[in-house]
Amino acid sequence: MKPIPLVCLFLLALTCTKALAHETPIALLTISERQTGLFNVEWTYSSSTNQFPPTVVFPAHCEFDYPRLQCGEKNLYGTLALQQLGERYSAAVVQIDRIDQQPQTYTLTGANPDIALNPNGNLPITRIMASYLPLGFEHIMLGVDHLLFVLGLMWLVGNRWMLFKTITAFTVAHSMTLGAVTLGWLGVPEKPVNAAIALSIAIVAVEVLKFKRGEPCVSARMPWAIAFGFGLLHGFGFAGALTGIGLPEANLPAALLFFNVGVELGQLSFVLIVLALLWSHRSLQSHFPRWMETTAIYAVGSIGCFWFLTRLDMLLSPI
Amino acid sequence: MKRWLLLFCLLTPQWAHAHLVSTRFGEYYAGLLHPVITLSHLIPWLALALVAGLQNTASARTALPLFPLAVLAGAALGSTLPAQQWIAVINLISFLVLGGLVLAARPLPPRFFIALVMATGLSHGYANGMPELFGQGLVLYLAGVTCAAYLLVSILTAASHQLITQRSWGIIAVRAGGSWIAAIGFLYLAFTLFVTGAAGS
Amino acid sequence: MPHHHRPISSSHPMCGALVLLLICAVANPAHAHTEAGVAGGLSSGFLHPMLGLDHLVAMVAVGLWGAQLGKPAIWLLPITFPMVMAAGGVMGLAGLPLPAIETGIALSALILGLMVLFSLRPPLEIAALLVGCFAVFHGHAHGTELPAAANPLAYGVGFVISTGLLHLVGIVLGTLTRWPAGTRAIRGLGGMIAALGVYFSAASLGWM
Repeated sequence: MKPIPLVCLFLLALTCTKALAHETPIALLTISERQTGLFNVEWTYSSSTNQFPPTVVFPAHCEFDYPRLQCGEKNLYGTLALQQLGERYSAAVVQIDRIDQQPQTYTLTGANPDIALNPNGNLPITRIMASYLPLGFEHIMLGVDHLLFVLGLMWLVGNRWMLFKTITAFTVAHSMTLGAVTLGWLGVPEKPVNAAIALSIAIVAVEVLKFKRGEPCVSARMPWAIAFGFGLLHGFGFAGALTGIGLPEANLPAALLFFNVGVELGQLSFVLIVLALLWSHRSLQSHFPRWMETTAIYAVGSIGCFWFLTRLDMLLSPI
Repeated sequence: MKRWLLLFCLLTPQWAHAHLVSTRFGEYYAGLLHPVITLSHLIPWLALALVAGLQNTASARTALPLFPLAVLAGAALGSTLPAQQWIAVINLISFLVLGGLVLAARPLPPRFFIALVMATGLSHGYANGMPELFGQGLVLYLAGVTCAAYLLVSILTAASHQLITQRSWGIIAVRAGGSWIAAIGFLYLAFTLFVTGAAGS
Repeated sequence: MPHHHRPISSSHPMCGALVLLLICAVANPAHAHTEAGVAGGLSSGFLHPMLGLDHLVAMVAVGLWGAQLGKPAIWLLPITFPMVMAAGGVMGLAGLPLPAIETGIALSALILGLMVLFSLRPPLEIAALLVGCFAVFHGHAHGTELPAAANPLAYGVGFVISTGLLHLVGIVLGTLTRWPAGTRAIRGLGGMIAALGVYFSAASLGWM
């Protein structure tokens, strides 16, 4: 477990600045049908850098004169695309309110900047996969709190088999709560969950420290238990992100599935990269001094505590 | 009203803060991916890792901390100083030098090897600089580039070192790789000289 | 710019001129540029040696013959081939004409096929010269195509990988020579390559 300090330092560099980043440049495009074939288009967006919203490309038969969209008899069916997605905004939510229909919500990303609108409202499964798999992957990759927790777990485990069990326990647990919340079976207030997630990192750091000192600790004997317990918590966090992105009502289970698969792929890549680094350092007999490892553990713990305190502050202070 | 509610959900600060997501893939990942998907960096870095793998273990592992640090220093300079054309020339020549050293498959004097690692890191780091960024974005970007250097060089160095020391055909495979890298370098150099150069003048 | 070229300059005037030209050529090195057309360049480079049947069979023949010859040819070949090929490619890029390229490649397929068919073992120098001639023609053909690629560097990487893989196919097939039946099969394969070589030669000379 030698190169972990170095990984930590990089993550640290990432997290310290990342914690300050509040901006979530997401744009919402609302298209409401006034009378058959005639729509009203409105952008709602917020960006600290005052970015203009992406340019919308409507199906060719539609005439667009902001905010009026005339599609005539063919109605608003065909391909709708957003340009400059990924440059200005990483994602945009398109909401279409048709007369006599439930509103439909679509999430467009830089990788999937267009959408095929068809009368029955159902999205093809490949389309859902193409949207939600990268979103899940992206979420875990940017979710440094989740990655730090996984790193802490990897520190605690001794061998491959135990690592497999631990990561599987974490995966099963967070999939369970992610599914339960998204499908509406469970509801948990977001702020306390986030504070608890931050605390889980600090707790794991303390366990790692005890383990490295050779003190008896339950978590080192049964890291899968701690992984499962806190995994339930992290699932709530993922669910918050998924609902924030916007979910198509009609395709909820498929979107949930692919988002989760994306999260697992991201987590697996992270674990594999850390394992590859461990292997590299072992095979080159490159050892880190003891103090570096201790510092790294303290750093992870401090980040966890810092996040916990800031989130607690947000929880307690009235908006 | 519903629209504003939805937007509120999307933009509530605690959401962004809690998940530390700025939904853009982030400058960190921009930095991480840049050298990995840019062939003119990826190939010489692979060659450097192969050269490192050809050294003895003690020498090889010096590249693990040194190269990322040199890349970091180079990228920090490249992000603040103006672009230099000779850096691009050096990077072009690094194809040939590193490829040639892999082809030769000789252990290098440790000092020379360290100098080589530092020079490659500095000049490729410089070319990875991003003058458009500043402040937090730049810090994230530099962390990403450094991370990419560390990941690529440590994993590839260890892999080539294992291949060379554990497999009888390893050294031949590595030398063939070096030969191909040098060949690509020659063609790229000739292309730059004869085609781009002819078009430019 | 010239005052910046200290690190690579040399006392030789020709060398200085070359460096100067290079600096002019690497015009406007925008920092952290993103390469365009990497995927297109990679795939077109990768497919180029595969799509030309004359290239393909000749390259497999190189691997087969190397395996037949055994050490040291079998490991000299994949190491020296790329460099000689690059020399041919540089000639192509520089616009130096090479006479009858198509015929040259076809003839190399024929000769290499015959070598495999009769399992000939000339001295290493002669073998290297034969393979080297082929490598020059092969590289020249690629060199002239390189500038048209979406991304020349990616194109170069693509054809390097596919050429290397074709050699590997030849070498792996060549390990069949450990068994008597395999030896005959390899020689048969050489015969087929030689026959294709005859066809390509005739076609390139306009006889067919």
